[in-house]
Amino acid sequence: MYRLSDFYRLSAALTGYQEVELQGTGVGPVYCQTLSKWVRQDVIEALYAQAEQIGALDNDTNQARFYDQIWNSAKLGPVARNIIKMWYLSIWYQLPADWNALYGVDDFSADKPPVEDYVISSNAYIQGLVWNALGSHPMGAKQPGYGTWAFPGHTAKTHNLD
Amino acid sequence: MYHKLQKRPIETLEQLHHDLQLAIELEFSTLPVYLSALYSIREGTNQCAYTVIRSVVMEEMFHLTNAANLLIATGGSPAINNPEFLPTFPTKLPDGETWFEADLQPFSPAALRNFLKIEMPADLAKADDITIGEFYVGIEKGLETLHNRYGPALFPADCHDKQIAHKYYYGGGGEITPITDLDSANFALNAIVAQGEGVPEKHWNPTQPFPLGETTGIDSGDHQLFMQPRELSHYYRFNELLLGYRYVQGDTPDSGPTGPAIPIDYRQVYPVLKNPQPENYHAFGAIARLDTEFNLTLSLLLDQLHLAFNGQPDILVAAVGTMFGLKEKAQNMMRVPLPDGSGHHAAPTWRYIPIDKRPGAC
Amino acid sequence: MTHHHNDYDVVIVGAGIAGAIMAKQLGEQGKQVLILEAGTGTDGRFFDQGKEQGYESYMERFFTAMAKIPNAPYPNNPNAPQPLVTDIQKPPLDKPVSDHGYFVQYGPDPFASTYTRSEGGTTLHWLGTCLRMLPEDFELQSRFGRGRDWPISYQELQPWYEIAEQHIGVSANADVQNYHQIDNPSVQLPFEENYNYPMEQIPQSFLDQYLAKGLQGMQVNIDNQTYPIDVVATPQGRNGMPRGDYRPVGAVGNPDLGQRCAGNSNCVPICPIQAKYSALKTLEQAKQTGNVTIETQAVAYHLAVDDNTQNISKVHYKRYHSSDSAAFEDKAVTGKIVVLAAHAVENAKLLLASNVANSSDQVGRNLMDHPTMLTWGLMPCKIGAFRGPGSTSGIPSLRGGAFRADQAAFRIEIGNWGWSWPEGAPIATVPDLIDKHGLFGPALRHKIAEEYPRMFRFGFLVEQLPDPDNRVTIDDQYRDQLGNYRPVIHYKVTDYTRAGMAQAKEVSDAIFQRLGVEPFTQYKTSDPGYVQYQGKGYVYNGAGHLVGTHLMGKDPKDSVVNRDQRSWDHPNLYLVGCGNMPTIATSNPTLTMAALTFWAADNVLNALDQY
Repeated sequence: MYRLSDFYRLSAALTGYQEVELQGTGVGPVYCQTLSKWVRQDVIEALYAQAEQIGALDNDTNQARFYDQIWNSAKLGPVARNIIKMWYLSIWYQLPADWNALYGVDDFSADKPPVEDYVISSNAYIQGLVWNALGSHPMGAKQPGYGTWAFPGHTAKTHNLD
Repeated sequence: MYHKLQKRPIETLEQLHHDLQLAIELEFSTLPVYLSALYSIREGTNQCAYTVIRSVVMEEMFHLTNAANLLIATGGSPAINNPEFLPTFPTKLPDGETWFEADLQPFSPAALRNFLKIEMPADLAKADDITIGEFYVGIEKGLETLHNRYGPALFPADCHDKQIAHKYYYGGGGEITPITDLDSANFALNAIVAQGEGVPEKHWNPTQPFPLGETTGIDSGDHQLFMQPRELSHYYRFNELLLGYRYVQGDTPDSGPTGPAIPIDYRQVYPVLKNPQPENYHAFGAIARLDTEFNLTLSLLLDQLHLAFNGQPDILVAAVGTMFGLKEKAQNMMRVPLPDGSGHHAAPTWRYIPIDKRPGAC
Repeated sequence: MTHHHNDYDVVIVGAGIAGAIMAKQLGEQGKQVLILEAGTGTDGRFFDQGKEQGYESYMERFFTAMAKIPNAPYPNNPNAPQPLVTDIQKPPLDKPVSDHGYFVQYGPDPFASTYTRSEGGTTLHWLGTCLRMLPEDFELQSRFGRGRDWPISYQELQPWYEIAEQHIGVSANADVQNYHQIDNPSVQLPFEENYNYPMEQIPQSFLDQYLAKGLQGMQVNIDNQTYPIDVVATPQGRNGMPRGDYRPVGAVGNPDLGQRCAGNSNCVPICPIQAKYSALKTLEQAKQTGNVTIETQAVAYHLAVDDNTQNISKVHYKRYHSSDSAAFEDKAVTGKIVVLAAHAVENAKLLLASNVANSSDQVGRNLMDHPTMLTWGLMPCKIGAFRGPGSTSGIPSLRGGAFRADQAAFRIEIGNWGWSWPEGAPIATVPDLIDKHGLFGPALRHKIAEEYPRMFRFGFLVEQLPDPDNRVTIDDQYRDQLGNYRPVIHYKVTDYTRAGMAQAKEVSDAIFQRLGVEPFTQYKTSDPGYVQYQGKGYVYNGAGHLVGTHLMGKDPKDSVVNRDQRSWDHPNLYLVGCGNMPTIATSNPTLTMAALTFWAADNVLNALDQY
């Protein structure tokens, strides 16, 4: 079981992208499943609950609480950082060994933790947020068109109408 | 609102220019229809359908460019960046095809049936229904009439360099040829009618075997044939998708396509709104903003095309970049479910925003 | 149509660009040609069809590869293994590196370049740079007392350059590429009057334009002589706007695609639409002649010699059925003429394994590359990094000059993809922003948006001289799973080249200072390509430009092929590819090799007339 709406809400706070932008990638459900696959449900629930309790990160107090209760938490911090990396880089990174020892998926799980970092899917690569964040397109996909590299920035030059 | 076609033979230059402007609008008006379906296909799925629709889109743009070049070659000026250029969907097509409306909708059998009406060859249409092919026959006859009257002066020499040259157009669809006289004008027009809409006498004779072998070198239902370029008209390419089978040599309109099956999965499509209107997004600010951004990009595109067709062909380079940006914005929007629980996804409304109504305009 | 015997007019080993050009030229003249390709192939397919993989399978492999190295899209095939940049280690002093990848490396410096063993060869992931060599590059020995002279001159190769440029489809302007605007007569190139490239110059990136403006009028001093620093568009084998009647060649199996570069920013490792030239296009044209057969998964391993005529009498090869299994069939074919086009390293290996063509003892020797030194930094403002073809301009004004008597010349490549080469940005660098800098949310997004578009790097392609001790050999100890030899490599970067690297670094520092670039260049002693010169450290990378292992010359005693590119020892054996080049100079070698191959094809056709 996974809750997509919770996942989007938390992801928006972690990535700095609006929920509608995250939905626009089309890969949110796959990331949410990936999270559920490698992280125990009670850990995910705890992360959602903690984030919910802290609320919007639009002031110093809440940000301090976020760093204290999530980012620097041995249990929740690595998971939160992995979620950011999924969205930006389309990669699921192995969680640290000590985290796995304490909070990893149990032995009854069908899927053992992955032994290597991996690209979640080809479409995930194409939808990685980092490319948008740096003002370009994923290398090898979403072609911007002939000659666009001659213009400043990502968007094609706007011509003034006279 | 689109009843611009006056049923009359073309007898003046103004009438020719009027009809060519209409031709440009007509070609462009099919793009939102095809692109709405094309972009609704989930990434990496329905590759065959995606390739077919994309190839038709490329040819429509080729037709648009040819029509614009003919207008330019005869001393006219295409008008592209204004709210009247683009119809509001659903719409009747601007060439006077009043017997159906073109819809924006996701890739589906309904969408394909709609495409078939757009591309209907005259020999399959009802006697009274106007088809795109017949519309172009009118232009051809008008050109002849005017050429008889004006001679070579119909194509003023100072208009040659303002046309869009071959080097600007790529990606399939055909080769742009410069228009300098009646022959080259007819050549450009023929490229339009032969390729897509078709006129009866230039079209496949239904009593004859399907002309696959001669034109393509492909002789039968070889699997190699998937996604290989073939010279079927748009109508039959769409009909293959609707029926789910390829035409092969020996097939007739009555037999239908008897070749290999085309793998299509209509579930691998974002269930976007049919004929979305701005009102659909009033309650959803974030989606309304996506739609506005899409429309601003579309408006930029029309501005760029307008300049390109009015003496600054270099701007086509930037316009192609804008087209790719438009695709990305459309796809991003179509992946977003409406928060109303309807199960529908958002889709762009395809509206031109005049310069004075854009953000930051004074 | 297919030729069913096992004797051909010509047997070609290798389906890369040289083999493809040779096959096309011969097939068009009605000669029956067989190409043996060691690797797997896509047989003209763009899309996958069932189990038959097409070009798109390469894209899928690229997208999901963690390390997006040049060979990432192309299958690693134990029956035709290929070197990978991730294999490269610094060889220890006492023993060779033999357990990392395909090459066995003795050092003392690591050989850092790789190639691709698949149908289409390394053009599947080349950048597409199509520079001609300078006239002085053909006469290094007589002009500078360094290296070797070629047995041919620039003037003789000039018409073949034109043919190669038309065939590959190069986008550039002749009146820019003749370098007549550069105030350094050593680099100026005579072009035929009225000649122009088939397509217009690829637009220069925003970064190029920014640099050109910022460096206007800049000069550097080398040996008391001033040289200009000029930013010049690079001729590229990628489709741009056609001139005149030329029609760009689209993707093989999907010709509507790739008629124009669309800015996928991924020329290396793979152009998704084939707007960049690859040998797959030439192979397709060769097949269209109806006279060319390509047999993939066929590894040539032995050339048999007829004792009477000294002709190559048979080409023996191992035909394997799948890259999953080492099972193979031992086969042999005959050709009136045999052409080796398997790549500089593989050609040398096959000659050494067969003990042929080596009366000069030069086979495998004189291995050269462009040791490529990078410098990188942050521009003071956003220059739109990570967009466009990998490089659209360079600084060619130091490609030649009197200083070549003492130190290597170099060409400066301007990289459009930020720090992707030196740092693996963005994929390898963003985790640090999160893990080490604690960035997330809007702050992370802002940091990437403000910094990454300012990322900038130069590449300095430094010249290397032919050195008989830099060589490919074979050793019975080291074989692959089919029992074929693995290349054993001895390699060092000499002071002549290191002096060029030091000079390049000085030029880079001066440019960085002039433009206000914040430097981030780091040369770590732990980098495999770390070398020192006069107490300072530098790092080189491989350029993938493998040159010189069977070089051409005027004298059978010190060269492997003559100016016809025919073996001095075997009348019916021709060698083609970069292995024939006696010097590497400062241009990416593919165009020169293609020009030479068109010439060689002519020679083969003339020779066939005598059979």
